[in-house]
Amino acid sequence: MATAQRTFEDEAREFVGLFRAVQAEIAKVIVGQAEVVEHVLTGLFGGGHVLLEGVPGIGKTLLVHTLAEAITCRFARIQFTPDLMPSDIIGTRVVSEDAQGRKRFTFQEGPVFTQVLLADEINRATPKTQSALLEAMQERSVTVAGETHTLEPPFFVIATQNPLEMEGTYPLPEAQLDRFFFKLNVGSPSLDELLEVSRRTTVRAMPKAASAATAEAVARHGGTVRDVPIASHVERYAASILMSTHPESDRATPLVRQYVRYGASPRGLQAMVVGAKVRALLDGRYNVAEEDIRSVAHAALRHRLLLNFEGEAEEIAPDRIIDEALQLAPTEAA
Amino acid sequence: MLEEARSDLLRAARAARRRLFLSATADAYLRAAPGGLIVAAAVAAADLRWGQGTWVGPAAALGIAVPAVIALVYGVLHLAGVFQAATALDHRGGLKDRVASALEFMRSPLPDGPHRAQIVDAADHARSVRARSVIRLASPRRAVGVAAGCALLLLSLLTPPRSPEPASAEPASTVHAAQLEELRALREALEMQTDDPDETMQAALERLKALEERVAAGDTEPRDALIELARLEEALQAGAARLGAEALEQELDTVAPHWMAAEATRPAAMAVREGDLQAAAERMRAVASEMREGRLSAASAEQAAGQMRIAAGKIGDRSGSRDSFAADLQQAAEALTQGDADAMAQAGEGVGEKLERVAGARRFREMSRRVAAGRTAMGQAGRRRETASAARDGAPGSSRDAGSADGQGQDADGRGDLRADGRHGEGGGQGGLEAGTGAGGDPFGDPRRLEESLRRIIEVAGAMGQGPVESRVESTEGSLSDSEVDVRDVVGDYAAVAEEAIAQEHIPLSHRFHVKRYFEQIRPPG
Repeated sequence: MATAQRTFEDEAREFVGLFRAVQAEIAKVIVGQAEVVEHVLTGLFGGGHVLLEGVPGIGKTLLVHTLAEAITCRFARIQFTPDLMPSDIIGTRVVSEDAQGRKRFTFQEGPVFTQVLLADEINRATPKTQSALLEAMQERSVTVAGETHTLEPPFFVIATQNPLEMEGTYPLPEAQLDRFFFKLNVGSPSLDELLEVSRRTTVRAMPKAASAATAEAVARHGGTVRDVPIASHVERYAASILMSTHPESDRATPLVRQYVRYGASPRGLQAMVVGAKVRALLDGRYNVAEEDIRSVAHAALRHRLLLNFEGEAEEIAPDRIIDEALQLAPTEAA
Repeated sequence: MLEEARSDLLRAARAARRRLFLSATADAYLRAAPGGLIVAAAVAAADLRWGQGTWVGPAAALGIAVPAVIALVYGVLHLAGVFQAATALDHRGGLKDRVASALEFMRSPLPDGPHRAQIVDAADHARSVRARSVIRLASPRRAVGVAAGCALLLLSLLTPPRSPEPASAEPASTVHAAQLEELRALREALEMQTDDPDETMQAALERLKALEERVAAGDTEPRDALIELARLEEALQAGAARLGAEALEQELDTVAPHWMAAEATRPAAMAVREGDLQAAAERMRAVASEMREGRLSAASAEQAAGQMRIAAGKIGDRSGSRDSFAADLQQAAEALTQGDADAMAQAGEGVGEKLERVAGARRFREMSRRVAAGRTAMGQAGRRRETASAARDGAPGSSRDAGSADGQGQDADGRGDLRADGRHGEGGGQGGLEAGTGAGGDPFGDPRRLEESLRRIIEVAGAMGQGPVESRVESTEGSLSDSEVDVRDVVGDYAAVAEEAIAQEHIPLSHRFHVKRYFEQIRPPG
């Protein structure tokens, strides 16, 4: 019994060490964006995928590349364009000739067959192409001509989209947005961060992340994260936050009633709870606290709120709605 | 280790629960206590000011105890459960749901590794946090209200009692008793004096009895009693006026000497002198009987007839008037001359009836005077002691002090007239030219007051043996007065003229009084 207890505690400590190590390696390359990096790693260990939204040139691609290097995973990047076809992502069957000269169809793997995938400007591809990737994200496998091809763990997708250029784009449908564990807003760097970026990237020796973890370790500690227990009152707190984003719910906040057409799906609750477990371990706890739920609520819910016409017209930020939901959510704390 | 962790977690949660109860109770007390203390202070101050001070202790005790009971009830009603206490400990101690989560995980008899790790971790953190440190009692700022309430309560104990009534003022109960005594004396005096069957008289007596009962029961204020007495006095005066005997009384002063001069009518005149007009009436009626029975000599009859003619002549020709003796006297003189007993009986009946009317009017006036005197006495019983004292000294007090107890204002001349009993005027008039228009008061005052004042004036004029004394004795042969008119006639005539002048002229009330009293004083007896 004591061994089991030590094992979990050891795993938890190892997870924290691994997480901080990867974080440190990324920090060698990526200037600032500490919260984004932490949330990306949370998504990675939580077994989800992350959607990054930010203007071009703020290091999104570099972040993903560096992450792949830090966790010693294969990395691929797909630049989404309107003419990108599903087969360009998942691969296709081609006629090939073997040594005996016999011809046969063989599956040519697409870029999705990697461990860390960057789907850059995902909203520029057609919905058909988008859905091909999103299916792979959900199933972590690809089926072509009746053959199912499993994707290699941890298969972590980081998609990006540009919030400014909406012309000629195909906004992701709500159902597909829901597949993303977190949606992170990548802000512009501060002055000091810009100076640091300049110093690091304008010299001969570019910084490079070292390997701090392995894909196996990442997969294993995904289990450690999910072992973290959560008390029912904390779960209830997370669920009540989620319910308050539903305009038809009794718990709906005023902003939700006015500006939200559909609230967050149950996947939002899953994302909040799993993300909170990661935060709990990082905080040295073996239980999830309401504070953990609050810390990941924005990332887990902001892309799951579907605004109504009035909300869109008035450009209501989902974060504002989530802020109100967090403020009004009933808590057990006396 | 796990069991130890469980035990420690439960202990920590229970400690937090106790602390929450204490905190809630203290907070409720600090909220309720200022109000309770303020109310207690108010009650104590009021009791010390207007009461006997017996409620100070209970009020202070209740002011402290009631908020305490309210706070205890509040604390019990809001007593947190163990889980709520654990969440409070987590929240206030920065334990981030460790204890509350662990309490839930502890329900499982065989927790797995992560749950065990969490329980042990929560216990470790709970040991490092003391409920007393993280769950503090109510803010000291609220204690300021309690301190202020206590200070107010202490200050209320310094409340001085209400100032006693001025020493010169008699207690209300004493005044009331004195007035009641005066009223009772008045009623007894009137009951003893009169057995008059007149309805007005009986009604007046009944009113007096009813008034006495109301005053005794405390249903009537002294001022209202005085007003009621004034009305009663007016009613009696109206009763006297209703009899229409004023002229008859004046004529009686003229007629009585002539009755005295005749042997046959002398008994009646004697009765008039003694004031027994009822007897006088009977005596006049008896003249006819004597005449019929032959006991009246012719000389006596002639003498009586002559005197009656003279008297009738003095009265003047007022034949036919119901309010004059003239016709009856003339008829009696004729009857006596002619020896007509029946006519004499008729005339005697007429004279007797008029004498009875005069007697009735006198009784009314006497009752009215007694009521006025009683009212004055009642008013004086309620007067301030210093005013009464000054009046007894006979000092010519200021007009401000001259008002009666019923507060009817200044004297007419603004100086205060000296009363026979040494008190200043009790007249209820408004003074000045409109004197006598007041509803209450005795416009004439006590008729004996001049006697008293005269006596006093004489007393203070000096003592025998002081100063030079010069005396001289003159011896003359003397002579009788050459006046052929009886002093009673003169008095009667001048009194009638004076009364008429008073009635017609606009004379201040106090001056009227002096004129009237002058003639009353010089009126010869009989």
